Amino acid sequence: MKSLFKIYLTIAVFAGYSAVAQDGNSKAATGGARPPQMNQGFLGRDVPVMDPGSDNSTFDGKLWNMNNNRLFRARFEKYLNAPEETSEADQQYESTINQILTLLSPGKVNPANVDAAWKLLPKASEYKSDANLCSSMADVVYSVWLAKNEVDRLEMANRTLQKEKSSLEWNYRMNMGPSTLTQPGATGSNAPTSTTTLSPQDEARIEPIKEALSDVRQTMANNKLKKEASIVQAKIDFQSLIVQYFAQRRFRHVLIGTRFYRALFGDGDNRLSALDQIASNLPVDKDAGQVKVKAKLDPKVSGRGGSGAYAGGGTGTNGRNVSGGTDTSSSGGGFSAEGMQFGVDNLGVESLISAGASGLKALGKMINSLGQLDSLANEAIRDVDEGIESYKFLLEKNELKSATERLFETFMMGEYMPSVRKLSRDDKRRALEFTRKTNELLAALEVNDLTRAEELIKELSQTAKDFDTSKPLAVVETAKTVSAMHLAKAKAAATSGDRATLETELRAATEIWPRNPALAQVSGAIFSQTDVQQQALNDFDRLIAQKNYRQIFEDKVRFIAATAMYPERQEKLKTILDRVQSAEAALMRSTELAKRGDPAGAWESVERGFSDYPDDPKLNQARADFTTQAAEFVRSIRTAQEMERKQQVGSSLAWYLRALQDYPNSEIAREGIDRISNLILK
Amino acid sequence: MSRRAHSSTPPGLVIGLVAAFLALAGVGAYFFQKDAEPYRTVEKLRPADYFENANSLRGNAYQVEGTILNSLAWNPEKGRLFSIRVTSESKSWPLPILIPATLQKINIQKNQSYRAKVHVNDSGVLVADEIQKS
Repeated sequence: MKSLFKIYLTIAVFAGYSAVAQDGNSKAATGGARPPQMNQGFLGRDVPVMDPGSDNSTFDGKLWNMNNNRLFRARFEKYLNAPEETSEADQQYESTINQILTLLSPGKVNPANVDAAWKLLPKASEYKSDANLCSSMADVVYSVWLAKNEVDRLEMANRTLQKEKSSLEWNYRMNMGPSTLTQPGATGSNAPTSTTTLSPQDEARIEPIKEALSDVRQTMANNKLKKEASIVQAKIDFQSLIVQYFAQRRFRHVLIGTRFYRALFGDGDNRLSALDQIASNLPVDKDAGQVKVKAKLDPKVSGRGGSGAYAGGGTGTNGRNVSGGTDTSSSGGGFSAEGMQFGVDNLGVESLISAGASGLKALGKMINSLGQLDSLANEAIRDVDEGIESYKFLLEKNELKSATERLFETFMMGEYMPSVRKLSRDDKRRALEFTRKTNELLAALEVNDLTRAEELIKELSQTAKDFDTSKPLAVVETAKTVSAMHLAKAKAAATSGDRATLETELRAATEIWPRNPALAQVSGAIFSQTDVQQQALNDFDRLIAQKNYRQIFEDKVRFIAATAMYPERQEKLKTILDRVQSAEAALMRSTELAKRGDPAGAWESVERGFSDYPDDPKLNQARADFTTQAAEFVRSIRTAQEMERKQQVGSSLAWYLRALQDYPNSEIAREGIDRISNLILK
Repeated sequence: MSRRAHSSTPPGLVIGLVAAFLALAGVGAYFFQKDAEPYRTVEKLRPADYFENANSLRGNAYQVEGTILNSLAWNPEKGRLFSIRVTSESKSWPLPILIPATLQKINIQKNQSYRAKVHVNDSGVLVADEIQKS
């Protein structure tokens, strides 16, 4: 009995956060915050695996958590939000059901009570809570009665046929002749035992009688078969309805059904053959074979591996090995299964139907009487009532986690039981809030929103005294630490200009904690730094193209930082800075000389800087200014240079000499004189 | 007191003496003039023209007189290059002058005046053919 209830009892409201921290390689990398479906897993992703410890099923890389799926969560939340069913109609419905059960109770059952109970069924089905189940029950009961009427009719027909048969037998014997009638030892009524050889005239006379007798016998046999079949079909229909009610967790309807069944079929045959009937009606293809799960251990397996490495169809696994039939035992202790290979053979619709039929037959062997179904229903009703009491008690103690778990279990098992439906909305709301927060926590952990998860853990620990924060907090803290480590590595990579590592580390940090506030700051800083650098490089290239070295010089700090990682640009920058620095020095010197009343010297200083950096606007301006102030000298120098360019050596030298005469400190003139003198005497 | 007899110088003698004196003075002046401008037959260089385009004067011979300013360069095979300040048209013009190795025996001193007969060589440089202190 308990094995059946395991379906319901294993469902717990909150154990999901522990599922999030399942074993797997990602645990180390993410602190366990990464959902387990990310892991390759022991069995790979091809074999569905149910972990009862965490209520998780995995298949094809997807995680199906019984506590965290829309189907159960939505249904449970709908119940928690629904008002208590304590209205007058609800009370009347319950009263009607109780009345039916009382009328059909073993001590009181009689045809009158059965009729009375049957008449109450349509009344009960009028209430919303019943979902017309009682009406279906009434229909089935009526069908049984019809079947019984058919049986009576067939019996009556058979009685008539019996009389006709007797008459035909008499006629037959009379037509066999006197010898046979007087022959001693002729006994029995069915077959004349005469061995007298009949004349052709006699045979022609008795042949029609023989045929009529044969037809009557055949009809009687058919009626008998029909009668049996009609009763059997009625029983199976009734049983199917009861099994369906049981599957629907309508336990009180199961009780009503079993009591009606006993009253209607008073032959004491309570065998439950509906499951076998359903199994036999399934379109099983024997050639389809069975689903096979194969496992292969490679030589790297160490320790005591599971002994059963082969699976038969339609069986579960125990997480270590898969064994055939219903044997799920394992002898595997601790072992290392590196390189273990699993595979599924012959997985198809036909093989799955075959497996389902086998399962139903097995279930039919376990539950083979209506009495068992009846006791299971009674046990379920008791368990549901106890669950509700337990919930109320835990609520008083402010132990919301356990309370919610008990209520969820109770709800899953006895969703339609009065004790569940009558629970007040206020009582349910507390479980609802807890459930919502735990679901939110699961969602936060699933998407690695660690900040929200941490907030929820704190809130849950305050509202639910029995909420164990250690596991989820450990998950959160570990993930945070790992994320921080990745961010630190990303920062270091950004500083060293290692773009590949920067991206890898940032991605890792983002995967672990996507909404990490530090992540936004750090990545923002890194990217803005990158942007600034890129912008500076762009400006640098543009200014070079424009030959605006002065601007580069004035922004030299920015460009020095930006070009630090680019040797080619760095070299260009160095050259530019040297040139502009030289021009700047020339400007400063010229300013000083101008102050001393030496415009020719000032011009010459500017001119020397100008040759290094002819595009500098400042130099150009100063050059123009000093040219006017030392016009004669400048003219001499320029003419000398022009003559030199035209290979007029004598004139050029003369002009340089004249320039030197005008400004004896002129270096340009001296250099020109030396240059041309050497040329002349070469 | 006795009166000496009054004697008078013949006028012809006086005229003759004056004429002789003038002739002697003329001869002397001629010779003196000849010593002061030894290259008086050679055209004087116009510095402005030289500054303007020395190449256009190539092959010409001129006389130049000025004060040595500086020694610019020296090559034992080719000679010495000086700058000489020439005054012309009330302006002072510094000019380069090459004293070739053939004239190496002549001492050229800074701030001393020299007169030289020069020609403009293919490079437009003044090359001294003769030079002497002035």
